[in-house]
Amino acid sequence: MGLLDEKIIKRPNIISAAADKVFNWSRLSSLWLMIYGIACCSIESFAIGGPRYDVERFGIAGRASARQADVLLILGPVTKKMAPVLRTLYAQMPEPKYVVACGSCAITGGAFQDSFFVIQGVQKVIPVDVYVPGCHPRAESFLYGFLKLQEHIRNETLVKGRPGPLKEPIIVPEALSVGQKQELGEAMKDEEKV
Amino acid sequence: MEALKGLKGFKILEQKMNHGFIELLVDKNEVFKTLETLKKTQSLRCNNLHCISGVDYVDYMEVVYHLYSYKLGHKIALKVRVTKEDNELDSAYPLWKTADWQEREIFEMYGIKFNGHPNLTNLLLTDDFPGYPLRKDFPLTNNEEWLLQDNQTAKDYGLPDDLSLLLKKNVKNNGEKK
Amino acid sequence: MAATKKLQTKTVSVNFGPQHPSMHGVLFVRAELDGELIVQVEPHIGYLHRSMEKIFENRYYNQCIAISDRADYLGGYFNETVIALAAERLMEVKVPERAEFLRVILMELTRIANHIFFWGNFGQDLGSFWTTALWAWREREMYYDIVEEISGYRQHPNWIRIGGVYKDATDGWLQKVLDFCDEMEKRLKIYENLVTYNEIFLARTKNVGNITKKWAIDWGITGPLLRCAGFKWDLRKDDTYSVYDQFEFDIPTTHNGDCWDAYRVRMDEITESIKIVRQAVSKIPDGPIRTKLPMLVSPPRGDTYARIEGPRGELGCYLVSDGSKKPYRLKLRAPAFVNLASITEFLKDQLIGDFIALLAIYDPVMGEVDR
Repeated sequence: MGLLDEKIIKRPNIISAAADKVFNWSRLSSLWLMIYGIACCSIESFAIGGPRYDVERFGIAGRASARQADVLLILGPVTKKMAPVLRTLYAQMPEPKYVVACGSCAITGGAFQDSFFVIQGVQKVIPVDVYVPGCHPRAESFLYGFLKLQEHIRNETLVKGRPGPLKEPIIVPEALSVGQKQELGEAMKDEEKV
Repeated sequence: MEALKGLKGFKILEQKMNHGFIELLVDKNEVFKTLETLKKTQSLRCNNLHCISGVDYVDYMEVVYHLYSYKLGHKIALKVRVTKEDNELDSAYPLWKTADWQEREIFEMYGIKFNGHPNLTNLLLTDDFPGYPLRKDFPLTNNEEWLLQDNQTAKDYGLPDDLSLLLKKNVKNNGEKK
Repeated sequence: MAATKKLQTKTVSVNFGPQHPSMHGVLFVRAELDGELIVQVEPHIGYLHRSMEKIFENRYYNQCIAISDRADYLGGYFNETVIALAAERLMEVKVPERAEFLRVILMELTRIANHIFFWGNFGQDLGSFWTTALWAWREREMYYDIVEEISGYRQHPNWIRIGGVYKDATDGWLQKVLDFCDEMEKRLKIYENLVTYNEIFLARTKNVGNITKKWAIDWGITGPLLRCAGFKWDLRKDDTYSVYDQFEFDIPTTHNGDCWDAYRVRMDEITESIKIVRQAVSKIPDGPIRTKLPMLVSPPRGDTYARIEGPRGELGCYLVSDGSKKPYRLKLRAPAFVNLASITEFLKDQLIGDFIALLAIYDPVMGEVDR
């Protein structure tokens, strides 16, 4: 990676295109999550690992330690006591890393707007890439968020520098429209696409 | 109800029936004696302390002990009044160990101190939280902006220094990577 | 042996931190070990403290019911019911029979779902990683389907109102409930075959931990942990509320007070709950589901304490009302909070290998502990 970064890739060329394709494909096909269940949304994230909405067919597996994970799912409200711990965990994750804020408590404080102890939105603590709204979001919204993240990763290039937090985070719509449901259905059937 | 008439050692200030509970109001210096008598007399034998709660009426604060007897089925609610200046009570820990965490929570939320408690520190809140949240003069809505500004350091929020740099740069450029 | 006693040793401090793969939530336990023996345990909670009790003072009663779902997020109906019971007792409002029966059916179904989730996680903690966890999710998805049909959402139902319930059962719903009970019974036999008398499971849970009746009452423990110590106490029979006196069911108790007994009690409670659901479905009357009350209720002045038997123990609600539309003080007495205080003594002088099993039988849900 070091040689490719500094010497060969100054502008798009055939080596960078091939390298991009391989790296991106390998990253998006095995996004490993860190099991970090804070509150109610975490039960739904266990449900997507369950037999009905099987998320392991996308290559997403749960890992216990932050040092082995690519994706951090924030599942619940982050309190002032929890924020330093969350920053330590985020710093422990190796790059490239992505953050998905699930549930309205993680996005803006949610049902606990008047609380003196809940931070109103986890983007005040760590940079966020994908927002999945809902209280709590349905399992299909989680899967849609992952698909969108994978699409974004597919389009990354080394020419623009190492991947980092997104400038414009992806926002998953709360209720999928008919077109989006079809998209999701097709993606779930077509195993080779992911 | 009749059994309570003959009890000595403490003075009941008020007594009434309240939705199935016998409600007693006792002076704050006699709480421990009252609880002990209620636990140990054979006719009452309230061996279950299942809830201690604090309430803040603006002139005074109240601590309510809900007692129950497994054998005889009595339900008693014992109320004690304290004020903000005069806020010390005897802890019920020597009688029931369940008072441990419940009294710690009342201490951090209302500021009522319990003498004789083994470890009276903050339980749910951070160690240096200012003020007593559940009192009525603590603001109901959250108006804080918990975000690192340019001239603030991580130490103001009790965070380690090096980790704050990670966020400071991202936040300054509206989330864009440098 | 005399030589080792003169050795100066130090205890090792191990963090069972706020982020850990065992699915109990954000509980932080710091254990001091002397070799493999646990010398001291210090639990730190509060990582999910959302100050619900402060928020309740600024919300109307219906909004309080909606928020209180998030306290014990695995058993959505129990928190709502206890607040509704307290308010109904203050207002002296009678709930129609059909609503009471529907409440009982859904509460018992939630108890079944909760205990099967406990089974899945207990197996996962003790080593049968994804087998038990994923099998448990099969049943839970069936339960979610039933709940979604009547209350609109999978996990936070917001369905119980003061004076009744929100929506009535649709046409085929009662049949679906009975089908779920049949499936559950069949699958329970398979699950018990796999786990309950398994050699490894017995070695890890038999004679591990010792809860005595006196110790449990001293620490205020209620629920399955009290019943596994030999004390037959269940609020559904001993301090009846709602329509539980019309059903015939037994209360499983065991005598040893170790981990295997705590597991056994919960498994037996599933069969008892299935009995209650079947009786309720056969006896349910027709009628209204809600007494007519204004949208924003204001109970008269006073205070009361209502309690129900939740899946973890006695779930109580102390409600103080000053006659206005918002509660003056609404305190939820969470069973997991009171039970968890006792782990300082329970885990002392146990081996570190048994730590996970001993913590898992408490079945703590941090939303309830921290509120």
